[in-house]
Amino acid sequence: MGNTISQTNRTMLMEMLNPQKLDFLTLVGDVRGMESLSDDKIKEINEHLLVRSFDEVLEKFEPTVYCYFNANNQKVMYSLEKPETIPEEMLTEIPLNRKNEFLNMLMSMIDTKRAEGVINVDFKFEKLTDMISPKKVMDDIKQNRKELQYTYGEYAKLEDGDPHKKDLADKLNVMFEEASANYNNVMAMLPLAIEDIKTRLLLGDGTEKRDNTPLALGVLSMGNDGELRVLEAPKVEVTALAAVDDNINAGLIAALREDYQALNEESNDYTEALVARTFCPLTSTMESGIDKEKEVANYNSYLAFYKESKDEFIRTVKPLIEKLLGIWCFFEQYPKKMKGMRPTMLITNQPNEMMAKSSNISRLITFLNTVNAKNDFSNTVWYAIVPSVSLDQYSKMKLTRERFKGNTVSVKTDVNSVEALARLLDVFKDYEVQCFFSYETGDSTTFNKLATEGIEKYEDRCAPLIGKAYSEYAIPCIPNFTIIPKDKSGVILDRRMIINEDESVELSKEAEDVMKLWIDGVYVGAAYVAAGLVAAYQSPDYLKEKFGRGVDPELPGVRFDIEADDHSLAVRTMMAKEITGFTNAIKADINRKNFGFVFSSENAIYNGLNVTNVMVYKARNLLADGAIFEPIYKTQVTTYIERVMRHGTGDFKEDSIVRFFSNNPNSQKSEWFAKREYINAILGKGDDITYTIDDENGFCTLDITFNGNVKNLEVEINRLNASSRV
Amino acid sequence: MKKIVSFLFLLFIPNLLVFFSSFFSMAQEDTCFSVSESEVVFLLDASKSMKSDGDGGATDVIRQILYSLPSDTKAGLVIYNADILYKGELGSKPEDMDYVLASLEYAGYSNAGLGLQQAISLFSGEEGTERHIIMVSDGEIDMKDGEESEASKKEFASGMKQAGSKGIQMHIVVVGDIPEEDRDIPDAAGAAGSEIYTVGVDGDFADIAGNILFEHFNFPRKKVGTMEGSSGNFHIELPVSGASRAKVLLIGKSEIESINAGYTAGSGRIMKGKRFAVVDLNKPSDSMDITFDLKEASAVEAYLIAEYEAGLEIGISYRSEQAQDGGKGEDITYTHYADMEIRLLNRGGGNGNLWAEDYYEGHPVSYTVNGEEYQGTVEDGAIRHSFLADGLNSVEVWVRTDNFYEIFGEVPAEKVKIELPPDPVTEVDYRPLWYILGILLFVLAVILVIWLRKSKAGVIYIAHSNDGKNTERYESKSCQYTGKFNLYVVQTQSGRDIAPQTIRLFGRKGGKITLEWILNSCGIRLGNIGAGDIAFYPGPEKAVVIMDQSEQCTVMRGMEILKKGIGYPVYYNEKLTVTLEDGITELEIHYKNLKPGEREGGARWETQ
Repeated sequence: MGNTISQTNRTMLMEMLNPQKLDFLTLVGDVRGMESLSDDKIKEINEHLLVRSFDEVLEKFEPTVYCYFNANNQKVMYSLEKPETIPEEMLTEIPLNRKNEFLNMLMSMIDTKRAEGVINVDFKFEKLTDMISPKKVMDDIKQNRKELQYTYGEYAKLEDGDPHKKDLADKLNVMFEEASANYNNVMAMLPLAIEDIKTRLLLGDGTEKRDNTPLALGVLSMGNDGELRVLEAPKVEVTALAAVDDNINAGLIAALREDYQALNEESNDYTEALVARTFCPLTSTMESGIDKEKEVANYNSYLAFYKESKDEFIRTVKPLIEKLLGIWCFFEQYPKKMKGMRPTMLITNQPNEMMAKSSNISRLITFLNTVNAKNDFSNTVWYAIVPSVSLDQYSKMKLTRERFKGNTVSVKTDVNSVEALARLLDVFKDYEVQCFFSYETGDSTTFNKLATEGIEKYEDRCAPLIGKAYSEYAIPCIPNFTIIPKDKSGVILDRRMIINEDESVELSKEAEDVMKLWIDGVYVGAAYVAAGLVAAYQSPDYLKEKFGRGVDPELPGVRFDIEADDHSLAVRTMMAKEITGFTNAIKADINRKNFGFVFSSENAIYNGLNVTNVMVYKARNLLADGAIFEPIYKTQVTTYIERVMRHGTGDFKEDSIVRFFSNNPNSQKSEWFAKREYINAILGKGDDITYTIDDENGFCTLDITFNGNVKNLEVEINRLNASSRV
Repeated sequence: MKKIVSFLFLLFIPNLLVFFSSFFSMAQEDTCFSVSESEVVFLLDASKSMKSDGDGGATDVIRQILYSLPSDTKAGLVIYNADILYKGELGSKPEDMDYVLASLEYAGYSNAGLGLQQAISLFSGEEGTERHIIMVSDGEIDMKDGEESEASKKEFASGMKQAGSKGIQMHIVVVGDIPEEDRDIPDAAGAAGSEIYTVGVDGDFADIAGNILFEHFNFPRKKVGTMEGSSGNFHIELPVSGASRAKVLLIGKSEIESINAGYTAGSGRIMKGKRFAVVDLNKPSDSMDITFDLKEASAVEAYLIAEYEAGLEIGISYRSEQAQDGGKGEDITYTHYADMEIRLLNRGGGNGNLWAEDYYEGHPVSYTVNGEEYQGTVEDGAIRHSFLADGLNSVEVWVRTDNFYEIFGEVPAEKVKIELPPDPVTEVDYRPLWYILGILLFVLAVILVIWLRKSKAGVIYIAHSNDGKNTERYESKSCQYTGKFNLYVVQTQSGRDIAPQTIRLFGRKGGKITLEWILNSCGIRLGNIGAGDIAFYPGPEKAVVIMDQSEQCTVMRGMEILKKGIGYPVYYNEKLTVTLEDGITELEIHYKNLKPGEREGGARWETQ
């Protein structure tokens, strides 16, 4: 029976990633008359929607931002949904993958913060936000350029027919392919053009110089009297390339120009030259031909356009980025190289408002009926994640999207209504799916706010969900994680360029000429991290890695109580601390109420080492006996026992139940009791399980005792014989 | 001797009887006084020729009448000779007139015509008032010259006619012997039909005054005694206490020398003439004593004039008499009578009942009720009168007081509202009616129970195989439903999203329930599109039986389309899909079990 249930951590994410990809409702299809789906259908759904890692998410869902230009207002427009009326050739797809500098920057932020173990107030966010500045883009390209130059040099040296030349050719093809990603669209060329102008006009990186004297290249020489002088070098027009190694550059330049022309039907000389200069810089021997005013105007224009487009891009893409980060954080909780019960995620790729509609919810029911109401648990969904729940506790489902422009009051269109959440919870309860939900991201749901205001706000907002039949399956997760705080999310792109009185070009020192864009804060919903951690510690391998001895290699961590003992110190999130900690008053309040799945950012020492990660402080659902909310592990254990029992007793046959709970050493109960000492025991020390069979009504009631607290489980039994049926 | 004594005794006793009987039995006599208001003008000739009346008898007549008159009589005085010497308006104080009379000197000619005209002019025009002129003259009209005399005579004759036309009664008292040629006034008075009293022929002054008073004015008064001798004493008791005024008029046959009165009253005075005396008391007590002395032994008559401020009091009680038996279908009717008690109250004496005294017991009284005249008798202080009250809103009662010796004045009529009490409610014995109703209700209840049982225990045919051909007859008994329905409205005509509903069936007693009822219970209004023809019944083995009796709806159990009119059992975790008659509205119904912990609270529905 130990291998009856091979996974207890499949998680269903109720979110939309890419509307162009298949979604849950489309895959499930019409379920009229159907109570369950076929195995093929489940397989198909898994194929499209089930992921085991973040990279798989990117690969299957290919989150994309669509970009097009509006000639009327001379602006660049972004959209997460593919505009249907715009021809393909007028539309640019920007993939949100690890190569996207914005996503890349954010993931680096999380890694760096974790590595440094520094709280938000001390962390230098600007070091990393700089990654999306043009300068950083250029730095990346410089690295690529260096490698390209070297590889091409090696390639050029070899003779034709040399097998090694073909290897190098393959490598060069890959490099050119990567490079061409940048010069096959103007937007990607913008940061290159900005840096290129700076390079040509400022002869360097444009850093502030104290001496604004125009540069005239000279030679250090000693005068007749021994005095040192810098004599202006004569300007010699050289038409031929000077050095032998310039032949390599010439070949590379020619290859780049040819590649650019091949990829772009409407090529122009400027861009062609720009590509060549970017990927293969040439020592400038030609000083004539630079129109400073024109270049300065171009620079300022490029910079302004770049800022606007980046603004618009970030504004459009941020909700999706936060989802991707959330998913990334989910998978980050489980060590990459660890095998075992790796958490899996089924992404619905569906807006919850659509999912929760009466017309569609039966599809979810049919699906869950298939995977959760069988004695095959390989596809059973144990958890769900519903992030970004509206802070308006009375929010209703909205089926039309409304966009409000303006910065002061903006209605979030990407939040899930409480009504939709309630409908989903009502379905989840019938199939014992525990749902982690967190509230909409922003600076009102951060650690800082929780530390200053306490949890009362969240209690109030969860009030409509308490006292319901589904309350046991609702787990509110607080607070949300801050990747970049709102007040530290300004990114300096660059400064405007001006021509001073000496006719030389310099970067403006005026404050209003600093081109800065505001990311407006980036956050990750607590539900992702909570579900990721809980899913992670279901794995016995994970628990073994954390605790060493005392972990059974087969039993899942269903009974693992993260609140008990020092479990929260051992099983920590992979998120860095954000604040110094909660006050004693706030902690006392949290302890008194025992409400929610609460993260804490505290100073702690475990096994002699400073703990710099966010830990779990409380792990409760919304089922309350009036005073106390129930720990989530009880629900997990109860569900686990029920499923094992159903499987082990052949759908609750009465005589099998008796055997199941007998004192026979081979009975399931005995086997569980035999492993009570383990951290991941199903029934731990102080736990017990008894049963009573109600023959008249045909129910068996299990009384599961968790350290003295009894939880009931009622199952309908299969009668012994037909005569005992009503 | 014995015979003489007996004779004298026999002679005395009748007098005694007369004396006493006059005191007690007057009430039984058939009397009729005048109770109208009166106006009287005394017209006195003060010409020289009246000097023959040296003993003041002429003024005594006036004074005797003046002081004897009741309070509601207004008196005036005109004294004339050739001109008007004095003119006292009606209502002048008797003392003022007395003073003028006492200081009168007879002189000059006699212009009776002028005097009469002036006397006539003193009267008011009020209706219902008796008017009198009492003229005291020697009968002569004589002026300085013959023309004036003739004019005065003509004027006098004209005045007499005028007086007659105005209803003024003329009483001429002629003093002295009048020569035939000077009989102007008596001739004119006789021609006008007036009363003429000649002193010495018709009696002396006191007699004539008494005649005028008692025959013409005829106000209520009572002779309370006669005494003969040279002195005497009258003890006079008022019949009813509380009189506002009481006068005792003594008229002697000879001159009254002195008179004294012992009394208790608010105020009192004694006016004396030669042969009369009046004791006038305001608010007297119940009795008085009067002693007198005469110049010569003679008879003295005493009259009591008692005045009261009276008003009527009407008391009414009602009674009903059953007029008609309430037979079958007929209402009982009643005749209503009013029993009235009429009392005469002393408004000036504490509102006491004047008729409560034994004095009035049995006194006949004439009265009118709403204008109709009745005769009654005072009994136990009241006159009792019964009359039919139906149809009357009020009654007006008036009592004639002219047959009482006492002056009650003109007692105003009293109006009383008739307020009939409600008819007695006859208590009906409803017990038979209750019995009948009770039996009817019991019968109805029995019928209802039988009908409900029959409706619940409907016979339906349940299909046991997929093709619906093999059906089993099943009688749905009154058993309970189990489980719950989860209802999902998948599609509506308007595209509206309706929240999922949960309908708990557990605990609901058996019987047909329709899909329409379920939808209405959840507040879902889809219109008349066939939901009412899809019915559910409790089935065997905790199933629920669905029967599609609609024309156009499509009901599926799983993938099976259900046939019309046949019941199909639906077990736990099975799903029904219903497409209603419009072809668009679609519902899914999931039949689920309820765990024991979820069964508390019985049947209900929830919105998610």
